[in-house]
Amino acid sequence: MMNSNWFINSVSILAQNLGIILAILVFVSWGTLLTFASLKKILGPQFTNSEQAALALGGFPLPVLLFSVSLLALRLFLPAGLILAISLLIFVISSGLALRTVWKYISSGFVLPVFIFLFLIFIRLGFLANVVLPPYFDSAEHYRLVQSLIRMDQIALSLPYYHLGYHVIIAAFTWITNANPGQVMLLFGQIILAAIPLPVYFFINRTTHSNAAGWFGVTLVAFGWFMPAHAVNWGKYPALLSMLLIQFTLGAALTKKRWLVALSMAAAVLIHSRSVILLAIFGMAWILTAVPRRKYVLLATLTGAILGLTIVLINKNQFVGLVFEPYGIWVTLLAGLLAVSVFQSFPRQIAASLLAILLMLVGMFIPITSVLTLLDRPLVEMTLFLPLAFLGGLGSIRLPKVVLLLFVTIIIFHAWTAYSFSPSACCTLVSRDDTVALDWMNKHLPANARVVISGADMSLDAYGLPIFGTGADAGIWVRPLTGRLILVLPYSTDFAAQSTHDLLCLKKATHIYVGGLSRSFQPGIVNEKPAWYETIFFLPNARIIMTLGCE
Amino acid sequence: MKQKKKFIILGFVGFIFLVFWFAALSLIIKTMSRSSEDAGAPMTEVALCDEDASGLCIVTFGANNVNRMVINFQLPNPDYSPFYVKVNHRGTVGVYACEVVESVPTSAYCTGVRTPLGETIDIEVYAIAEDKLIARGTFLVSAIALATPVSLPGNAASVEKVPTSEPVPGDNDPSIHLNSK
Repeated sequence: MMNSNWFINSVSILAQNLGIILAILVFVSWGTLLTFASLKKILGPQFTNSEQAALALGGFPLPVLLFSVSLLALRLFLPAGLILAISLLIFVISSGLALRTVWKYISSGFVLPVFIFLFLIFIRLGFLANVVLPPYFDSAEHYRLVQSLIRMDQIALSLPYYHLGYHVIIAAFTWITNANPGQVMLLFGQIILAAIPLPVYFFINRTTHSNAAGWFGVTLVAFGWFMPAHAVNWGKYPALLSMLLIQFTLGAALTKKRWLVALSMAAAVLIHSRSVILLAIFGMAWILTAVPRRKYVLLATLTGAILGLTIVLINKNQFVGLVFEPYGIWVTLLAGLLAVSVFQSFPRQIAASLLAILLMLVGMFIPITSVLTLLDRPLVEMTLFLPLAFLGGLGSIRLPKVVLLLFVTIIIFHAWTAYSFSPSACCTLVSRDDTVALDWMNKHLPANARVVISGADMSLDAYGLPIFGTGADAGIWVRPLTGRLILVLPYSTDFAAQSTHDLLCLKKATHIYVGGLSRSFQPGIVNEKPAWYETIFFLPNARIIMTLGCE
Repeated sequence: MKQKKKFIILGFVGFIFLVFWFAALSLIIKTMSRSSEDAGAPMTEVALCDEDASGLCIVTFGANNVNRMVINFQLPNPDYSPFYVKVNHRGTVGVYACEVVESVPTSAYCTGVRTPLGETIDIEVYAIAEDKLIARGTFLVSAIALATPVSLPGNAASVEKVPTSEPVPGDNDPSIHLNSK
């Protein structure tokens, strides 16, 4: 059975990493508590405790980011001991003040979102049972940048990078706890994933004043589709973290506190730059649907028709047709039909959600440079759950509680039987053989070695313009883990060709990394040209080959 | 108001219960794994990870540039006691130094004398701190493929030999498959 080992995997990961998990939870709880207390101070009793607690879980990255930036900045001027003492002081004082503010508000409304969050964390931890390093090629770059921030030696190199907020948070946490950055990235990623469904409750409950509808929306995000959970397979940690702040920014917009919106938006953009586009799309969809009531039917019909046409066209496009792949037809259809059934009650909200979906899809086709579009396919793919869950949540308001409970059960059962809670084979680039080979490489290769690694071109935008030389196997970890220079060549490179050998000599490529994946270099290159190549380290799924014969 | 207080109390009790449950569960697992590492407790069996990855297990075998055997271990937890390995082949015991992979603390590898092919080897794992035997297993080297004519005795049934121009000891490209016995 697909998820038969889930429970034991989760328990095992919890037991193995209890210290780091609790430390991350302290970090997250502190951020949530501060956000919750601030919301209480700013808004008073305007929103319910459940709404604010759910929204606060979306806002936790905001104080955490401010704290992390300050901490890393202080490292430029103060000794580590003093910074840790100051940090502890800030932590204790701010927690005390926040607790004093929220103490009288603690109720079941506050506790329930926290319980659900902890439950979702437990569910998501099992994913990590067979993962040795964060998945896919993006993660290697995140890891390298986190390390450069911790060491402070290449800080200038990481500054222009566009996901700096995420790296700063991970670097600050890793520095304080002295934990392994790879483990922190993996565990923090799963905890982010567990928090993402909660803020949806805020929007649905705010609109419908129905707890049941709010929790139904949360269920849809947590279990309805492959996304957003599948995004951890792609190492999309910054984008996932930004999903929390995008929701918090939208929630802050409802409070009409402009400074809070601006602050939250700035943090979201620092964590993931395209958040600004997504926020603009949601904002635009809301503004454009501010029409007289009688025009809603026309607007929704028009939007629905264009949306339908766009989906049909997109499905015919081999590059962006994948965008709906994670959204199974039955749950999506359920959300859609439920939304239709309550259109009369929430015309603007439903029209705005449809328009937001449409604008996101259109955003994939708008070029901003010769190689970039406004939104890339994976980002749209992992964001569509937001309007869909909102639609489903709104639609559930008319359902009797028994039926709603039945739907919740079916959705969770469907997730249990249809979606794997384990890593996808698509994106696991590193095996245990690779980790040993990379460690050996770090200890035995000369510091000036340059390693050839396997790369592949990948199309993420609507026009099929490829991103050149993305890592195709564990070779992508050579630079972050060993610090050696790399040269990326296509995985299909013919190493027996004279031109290739000449290129290696010209580029001073001293070694070649051969992983055990289908897009790794062919391991037989040593056999073909023994005068040019020599295997110096071998495990069945990882080899290090030395280049010979260069002058 | 009473209802609210009840909820608060229930919530906190529940939360404490949950934390306690997490902690207790992890403590039980840690105690179990520690007790299995203790010398007083029965020694654990080292298996191939493909067959049983619940404890200390062997992922693969390989070789390095100086013709030393590399044994790739998966550890049951990141805090596993530092260890070394003794490999016994036909009464000859080789000591293998082991190191944990820096970036992945549940991976470790041990390096030592390369043993002949097609023959069984006994692997004993010793905790460095107390020099106590903590795990053992027996494995059979069933097949190997070499890229260089390094002459090693053993089962040549699936041997693929492609000579290099400069046969140097350790210039090898073996594919070793081992079965636990």
